[in-house]
Amino acid sequence: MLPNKVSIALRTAILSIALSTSLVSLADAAAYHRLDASPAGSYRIDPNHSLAWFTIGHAGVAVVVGRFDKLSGSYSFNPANPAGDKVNLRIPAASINTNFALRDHDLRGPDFFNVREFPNITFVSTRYQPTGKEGGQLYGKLTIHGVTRPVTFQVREIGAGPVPALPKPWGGYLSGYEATTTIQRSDFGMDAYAGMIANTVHLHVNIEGVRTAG
Amino acid sequence: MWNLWQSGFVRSLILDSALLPAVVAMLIVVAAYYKTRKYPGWRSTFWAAAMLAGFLVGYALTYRDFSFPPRTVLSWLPWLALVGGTIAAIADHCRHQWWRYGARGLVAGASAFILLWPILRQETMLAAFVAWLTVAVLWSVLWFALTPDHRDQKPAGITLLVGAVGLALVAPLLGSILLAQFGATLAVVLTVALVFSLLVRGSRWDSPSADVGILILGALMVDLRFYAGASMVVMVWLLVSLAAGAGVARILQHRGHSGRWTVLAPGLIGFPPVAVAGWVALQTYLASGGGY
Repeated sequence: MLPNKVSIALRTAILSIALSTSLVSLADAAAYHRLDASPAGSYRIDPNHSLAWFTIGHAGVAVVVGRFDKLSGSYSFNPANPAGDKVNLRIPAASINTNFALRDHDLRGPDFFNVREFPNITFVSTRYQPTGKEGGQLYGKLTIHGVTRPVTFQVREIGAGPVPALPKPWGGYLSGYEATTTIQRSDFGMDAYAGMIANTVHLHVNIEGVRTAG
Repeated sequence: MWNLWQSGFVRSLILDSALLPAVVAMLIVVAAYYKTRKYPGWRSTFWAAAMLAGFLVGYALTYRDFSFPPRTVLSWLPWLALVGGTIAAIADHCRHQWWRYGARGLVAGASAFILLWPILRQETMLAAFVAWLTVAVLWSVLWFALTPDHRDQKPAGITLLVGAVGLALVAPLLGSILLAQFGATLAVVLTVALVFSLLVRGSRWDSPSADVGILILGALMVDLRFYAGASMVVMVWLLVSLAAGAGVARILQHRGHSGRWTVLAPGLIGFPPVAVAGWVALQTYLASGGGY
C-alpha cells in the first residue's frame, strides 16, 4: 500500500510541476511587451484580430454590450514624431451586432444608425499625444449617422514585434492597441428612446495591425 | 395599462405624438373657423395649415431636426409638405385641369427622388431609375385617385386617416417607433380636421388638406419601406388600403351619392387591408422574438 501511495504522490508532484511550468510559459506569452525597439511604420488593421465594441445603459438598470462585426483601416506610428501619427478607421454601421436580431434590425433603421443613408462610421485622427511610456491621447474626428464631432481616445499600446509564426496575411511585424472614449449619442443625431436607452455610450476599439511599410 | 401610463417614456410618446399636435391643430382650426366666417372659401386652406402646423409640432417634439439643407431623409419631411402642398394649391387655381395633374406628378416625382437619393446613388443607373419610377408613379396615381377634382375631399381624408393609422400600427413592429410616432401624429391632425369639417354644416374639406396628408403619408411610407426595411407584403397591403379607399370614393362620387356614409365608406373599405398588414407585421415581430 505504502509504495502505491508514494508512487501516486510522486506522479502527482511531477504532474503539478509540469503544469505549473507550462502555466508560467502561458503567462509569459500573455504578458504583452515590445519585442522589437522599432515599431515605427505604416500598418494595415487586421480585421480578423480587431474589434470595435460599445456599452450603453438600458432602462436605467443594466448595461447592454454591442459590437460591430466589420472593421477596416490603417495607421502609422513613429515614436520619434508621434504628432505625425495617423489613424483611419472605417466601420460599416450595418455590421452592428447586439446578439439580438430584431434589435439589430431596428438599430440599422431610421430611429438609430439609418445605415441605408449613412452606411459607414469613420474616424480620422488629427494628432497623437503620448502621455506616458505606453499610452497617449488620440485626437480626431468621429463621424456617426452623418454627423462629425471631435473626440479624444485614450490609447494604450499593448505591444509590438515580429510574429513570424503566423502565416500571411496575419503574420509579420505586428502591433496592438486598445482605445476607449465616451460619447453622447444625441451629439450625433441619435436621441431616440431617451427614456429607455442611455445617452452616454462607451466606445472601445481593440486593434491589431500588420506593418506594410517601415 | 395603468403601469404603461406610469412610464415616463410612454407618456412622452403620447404627449409628443398625439396630444400636443392635436391641441395645436384644434386651436388653429377653431380660430380659422371664426376668422373666416365671412370668407368660408379660405377655410380649407387654413385647415391644411392647421394640419401642417399640428404635424410640425409633433415632428419638432419627436425629431427636432429643422436643418437646412436637410441633413437626413426624414428632415426633408416638413419642407416637402410645405413646398409641395403650396405648389399643388397654386396649381388648383389654374384654369386647365392638366396643371392640377402635372403639378402633383411633378411634386411626387421630385419628392420620390429626394427621399430615395441616398439609396439611388448606391445602385446601378438602371436599378435606381426603376426604383425611382416605381415610387413616383405609385405616389402620383394614388394622389390623382384621391384628389381627382375640386369636389369635397372628405373621402380622401378618411382614406388617408386609415392609412396613417395603419402605418402607426405596423411601423413599431417592423423596426421604427419613430415612424409610428409620425404616423400617429398625422392620424391625429387628420382626425381633428375631418371631425371639425363633419360637425360644421356645409364645410368642405378641399384639396390643400388632402395634399398635405398625401405628401406626409407618402414620405413616411417611402421611409418605412426603404430605410426601416419593412417587408413588401406589408407595404402592398397598406397601398391596397389607400387604393381601395380611393376607388370606392371615386365610384360613389361618380354615381352621385352623398351624405355621411359616402364619406365613411372609403374608410370602412380601407380598414380590412390595414388589418391584414397589421396581422402580417405582428406575425413577423413575434417570429423574431418579440420586444427588447
